[in-house]
Amino acid sequence: MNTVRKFRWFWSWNDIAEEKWLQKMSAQGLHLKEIENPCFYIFEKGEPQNYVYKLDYRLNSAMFAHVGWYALADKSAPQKSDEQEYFQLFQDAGWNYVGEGRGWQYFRQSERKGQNQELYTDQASKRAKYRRQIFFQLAIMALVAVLTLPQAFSPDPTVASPISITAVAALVILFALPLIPLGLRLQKLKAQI
Amino acid sequence: MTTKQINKYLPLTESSAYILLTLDKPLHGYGVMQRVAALSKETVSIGAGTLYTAFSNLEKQKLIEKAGQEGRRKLYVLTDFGRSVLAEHIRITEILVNNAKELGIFNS
Repeated sequence: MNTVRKFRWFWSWNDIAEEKWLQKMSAQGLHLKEIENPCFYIFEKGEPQNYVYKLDYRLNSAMFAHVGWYALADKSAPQKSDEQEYFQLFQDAGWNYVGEGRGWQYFRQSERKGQNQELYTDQASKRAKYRRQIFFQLAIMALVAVLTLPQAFSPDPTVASPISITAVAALVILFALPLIPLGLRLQKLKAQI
Repeated sequence: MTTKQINKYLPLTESSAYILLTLDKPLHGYGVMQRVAALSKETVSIGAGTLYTAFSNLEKQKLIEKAGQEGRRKLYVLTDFGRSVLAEHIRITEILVNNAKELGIFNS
């Protein structure tokens, strides 16, 4: 096999570190091929390349297919026209689409020294990207909370099992705590204007 | 179209002003990126994410509208309202630029 599978934990505020990590991997000849949600990365072995990786936060139909909601989005179905337009625009701008992980869309292109290789070139759209991320994180958090909280805090000890209490702890660590660095970053972007 | 409605969108950001400027005739995203780079003498570059976000915002605000399709690429064009907003933005900017010239503080 000419591929390598790696595990890496992705904190939701770490998109920039993720971009740098993938760039470093490509410099060693390991090029991202696919992400198996949530935390496995499939790399293809090849010649070392100077690739720049950029992440954009946007939900797409392939993502729903990943989590098995085929009723919402059939992977074989043609992309919606908005989605087509989105990927076409990035392709025209020289970005090769690599794949999707946890709502993040991964793009790469060869490094061009001295040129602007950012997906977001103004503060307003950069803020909008992180606002989308926080919004969806809150939405998932609310959903998980509705499903787990009633059991965890039930007066009936047979319902408040260690499992449901663990679920609440996971909810706090995975979704609630990351909101602090995410919120601080939005604040910092505002201050830069 | 009242002045109040127009002022709601002013001042335009530099990227929005340039995007509107290139859409006097129907154009797709790739064309906008190229024209902005050329018109601004490479002083303004618009990333793909920023442009996609701008298209959807400007369309929601009715400053631009869809004008057909070229293959997979959608074409956009200024609306009359968008034209008025851009014209007002240019008028205000011109006053600023002329003031700077008349004061001569940047002549060396």
